[in-house]
Amino acid sequence: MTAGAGADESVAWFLAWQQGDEAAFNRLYRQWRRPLLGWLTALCGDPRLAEELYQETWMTVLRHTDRYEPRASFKTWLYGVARSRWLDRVRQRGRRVSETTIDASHETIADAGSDVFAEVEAALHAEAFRRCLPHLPEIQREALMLRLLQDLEWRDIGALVGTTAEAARTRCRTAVARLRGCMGLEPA
Amino acid sequence: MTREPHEDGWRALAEGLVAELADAAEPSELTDRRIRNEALRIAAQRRAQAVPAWRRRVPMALAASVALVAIGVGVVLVQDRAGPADAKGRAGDLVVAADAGATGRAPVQAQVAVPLQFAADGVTLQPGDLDQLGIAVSQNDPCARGVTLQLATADAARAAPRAAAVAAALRQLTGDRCRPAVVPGPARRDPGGAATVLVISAPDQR
Repeated sequence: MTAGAGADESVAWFLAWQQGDEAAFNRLYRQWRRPLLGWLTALCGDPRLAEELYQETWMTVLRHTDRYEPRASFKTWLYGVARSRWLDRVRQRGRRVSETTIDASHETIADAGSDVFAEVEAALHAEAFRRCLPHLPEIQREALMLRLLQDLEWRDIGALVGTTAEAARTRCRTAVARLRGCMGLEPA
Repeated sequence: MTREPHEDGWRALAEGLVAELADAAEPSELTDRRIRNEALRIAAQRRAQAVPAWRRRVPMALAASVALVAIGVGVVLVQDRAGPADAKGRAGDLVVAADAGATGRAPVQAQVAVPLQFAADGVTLQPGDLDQLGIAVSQNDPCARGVTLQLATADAARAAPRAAAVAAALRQLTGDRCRPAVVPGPARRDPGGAATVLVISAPDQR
């Protein structure tokens, strides 16, 4: 199921659910269960953690049903909740502080003038990408996935993960460099 | 939003990965059940809140009256018949409310009785039992203050492990909201009915 399909239906179903319509919730749940779990798995790189986050996300959605207003698409809200749960976990693990220090050293090494995303032939490298992505350090993978899957500006990524826009951009640049190495591509 | 050069090629890879993972993604049955049960519970709450108070009281009063009559009839029947079943589950009489300690106290409208059919080992809950528990939890929240959970079973030898199995199943349903405790107790067997019943009682039913 693609992200766009049924988006308007989702809003209608959720509004019906807000009135206590269980059938509407069941339709909504069927529509989004696989896309959400797949997205979380890609985001965090750990299927078991992804399922925990998936459950927490739906529980949050159910218990804070009234917080949704149809100004935003249901997908935006649902995935926003999921992302918040994921970032909570990242913060809880307390890895942010130590890895920020490591990341800062990358900034001094990285060439700020180079492209963040060196060219890649998507169709040819899908398998290698899937194999290599889990090997990225978490802070690099999360910055990269927030950019690629959420279309966020650098400053928004920086704010979410507790760093500056330029550091977020550097994380992506470093992630892409690592991916290229892992995927057997020439250095950019 | 300003895009970086070549960003779209990487985005295509990431989106392809998400699509691939989504095709293969399948939440566990347990996760699905927890979420759907929570939805059932919240939907019931919301519907109850949507009904004006005076409209809620009328059916409640009717239900209470019917329940009082039923309890009266049940008590008379129990007094006329044999006592509790033995450990072999000999057919006797089941008054779930009596075994749960609710007989003689009115009303019983907030009490939910869940008949359970265990697997061949006599302790493991079957899928149908889990569904029944999910429905019951949606009707009477075991996390609410003062709610009691009693497992009335005619099989005294298995009472404790059955209660533990039910408690574990309920904890899966309630998640991190609370850890329900189930108290085992004796039961009389309902002719033609289940030998084990979980009774969820609201505070005013005790």
